[in-house]
Amino acid sequence: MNKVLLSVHVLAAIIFIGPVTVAASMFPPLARRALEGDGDVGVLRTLHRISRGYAIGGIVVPVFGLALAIGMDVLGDTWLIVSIVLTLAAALVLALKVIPDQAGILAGVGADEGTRAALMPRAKALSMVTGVFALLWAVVVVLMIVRPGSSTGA
Amino acid sequence: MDRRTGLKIAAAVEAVTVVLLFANLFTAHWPSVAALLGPTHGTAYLAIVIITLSTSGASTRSKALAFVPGIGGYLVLRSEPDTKGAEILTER
Repeated sequence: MNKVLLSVHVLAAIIFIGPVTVAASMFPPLARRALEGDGDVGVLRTLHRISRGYAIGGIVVPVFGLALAIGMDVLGDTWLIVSIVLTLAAALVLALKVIPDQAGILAGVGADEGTRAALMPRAKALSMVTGVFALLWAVVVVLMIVRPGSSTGA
Repeated sequence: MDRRTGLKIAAAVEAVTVVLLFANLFTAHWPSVAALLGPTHGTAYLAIVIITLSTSGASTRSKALAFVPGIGGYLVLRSEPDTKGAEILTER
């Protein structure tokens, strides 16, 4: 049964978290261009929908991951606790910063020049925040593969 | 897929899996069935809570109802009627 849980866990990470990372990282440069007045707002809107919608699908990953951890009896392992903390941090960055900032920029894209200029620093900061999100979950993936200190196989 | 469609799917999964989980518990009690249905149910439950809480137009009542186990999704759909819900629970 653990093999099934592991398959769902990895598949969901690829299908849901991958697109969120790509869409979220494509958003800030396009947002900057849209705020300067020559961007495709439709594309921006789609990227925001992917970021938000697939993030909700991404819930599958930690839920099946926890079930798997209980099945494998590794819930107390240090590498896993560190991973859980980092995953929580990544989820919070996504839910409290990336998605709301995207929504805020989208709301102001059609506004007058002053409003758009005021949003520009936010679009620039969003690049960095999105990078932090990608970095956090990349570290988690490495932890999942290397499992430092674990004795349950290579 | 708009938010309401997502909520409908999650509500169905939440309700069906909880029924199947209890059916399994009181009859055959196969551990592998529980191991698969449990996380599926948990995912649907969390999805309903997160979709509802992240919808700015949803009422406080709906947000509280989302936490009800098993049927929370359907309670939210019922408390946000389709006409109003089409506005509120639809992504533009």
